[in-house]
Amino acid sequence: VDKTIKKNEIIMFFPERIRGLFENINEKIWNNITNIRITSGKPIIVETTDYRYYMNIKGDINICLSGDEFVVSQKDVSNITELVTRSSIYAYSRYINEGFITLPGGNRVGVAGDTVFENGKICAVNRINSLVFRLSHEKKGIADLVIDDIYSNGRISNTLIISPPGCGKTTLLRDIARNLASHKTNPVICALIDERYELACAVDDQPGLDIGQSSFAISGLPKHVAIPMVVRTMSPDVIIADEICGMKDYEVIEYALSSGCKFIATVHGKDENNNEIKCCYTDKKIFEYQIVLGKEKGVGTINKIIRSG
Amino acid sequence: MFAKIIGCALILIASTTAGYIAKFRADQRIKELENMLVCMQGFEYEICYNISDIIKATKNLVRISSIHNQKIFLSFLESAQKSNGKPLSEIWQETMNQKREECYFLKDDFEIISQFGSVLGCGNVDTQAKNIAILKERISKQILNLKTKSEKSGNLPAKIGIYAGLVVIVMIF
Repeated sequence: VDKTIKKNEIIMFFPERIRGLFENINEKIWNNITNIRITSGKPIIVETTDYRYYMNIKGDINICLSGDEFVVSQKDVSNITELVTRSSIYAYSRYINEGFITLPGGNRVGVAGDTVFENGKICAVNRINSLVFRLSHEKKGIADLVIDDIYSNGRISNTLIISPPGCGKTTLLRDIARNLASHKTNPVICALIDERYELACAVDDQPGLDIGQSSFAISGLPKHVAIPMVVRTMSPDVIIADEICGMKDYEVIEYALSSGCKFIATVHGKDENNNEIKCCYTDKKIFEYQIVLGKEKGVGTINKIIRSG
Repeated sequence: MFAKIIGCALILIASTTAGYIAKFRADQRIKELENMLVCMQGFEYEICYNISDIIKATKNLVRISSIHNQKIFLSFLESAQKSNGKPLSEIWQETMNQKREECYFLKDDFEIISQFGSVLGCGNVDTQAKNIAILKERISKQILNLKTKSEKSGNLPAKIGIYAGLVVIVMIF
């Protein structure tokens, strides 16, 4: 079951002259859109799961550049920035400094511009000139293939999902959480560590995506802070985290495991032989179950399942 | 003669009322400025501690503002929600221009409050905090000035109304 993204959820963030162009896109294409790229001085690029399209001045989309593309102005980008930040850049500055703004419904906007870098961190992103709307696709049921291996006879296996970007690991992770937390006979208390508001996707008072009946999310905190906090205060059965990275995360995962919690996570990598993954996670044998995703045969294809221990 | 007496009475009532209205407006102006100060305290809380966006912060301001300040904030909120990407500084300025006639504030007050809009929503939380602090300081000074003037003049505007009426009556007779 796919959650279709309502067109209005996205085009409400576009100024009128761009909003009008998107009215022409038919529902079938709209439901497959993954990214909308808006860059000052460049044409609008609409990416679906299969193709990359360029938008022309009439609002039609073509696979090839035809010379009559709609060119985005800096004012358009500024207007969109005003709209996505609800005219309050200051309230979003910590997210903008990390390169994204989260919209209601789990959609995200990646931002790029002139960056001020001081003392090893980004202090500000001035004159934002490029935005990419990344549309969230909730797909219920995609974890059905693996859920029985992860959770059987009341036992949860520590699981690592490995894939390159854009292969559906966050979507799979969310569906695993939903399955565990909505298990008919023995639901599991799941703590979702939603550092970048991608998993539960709750923004302000807007409801997020379906993460199951007995789960909760802690949002906006770095994993190495959130995980010990959740272990100490919320006593979950399983901790679920997206995009773990490096030794800092490994140390807190080890702490959570030694505290008796189970752990399910995703990590960026081509496969289990990626050096960082081997060094930090697989060699240490903390994950009993590893799923490698790819998109050669479609986004979210399970390339390999490795069971160890 | 009877008509003259009636006329004089009316003149006296009108001039006295005008005097009292002037006094009332001066008092209300101070009260509205004081309320604006309280609103800015609330705004500071929303922006610097809750990190709420301007629209959410303004919604909360509406609850604590006086009737006339509420009109300003409601009008601003409505325009900001339909902004279509227009910068808040422009929306704030437009709101000030629209509401100029509906408030007890005078030109000086509007200048202070209008300038507040110039960096509204921009930069980071520090920028907003400084902007609010400047506005609070300027409003506080304005209130102090007005109170000092009010204490000095006492009930003068109301009395002037009565005296002006009496002068006109004397001139008629």
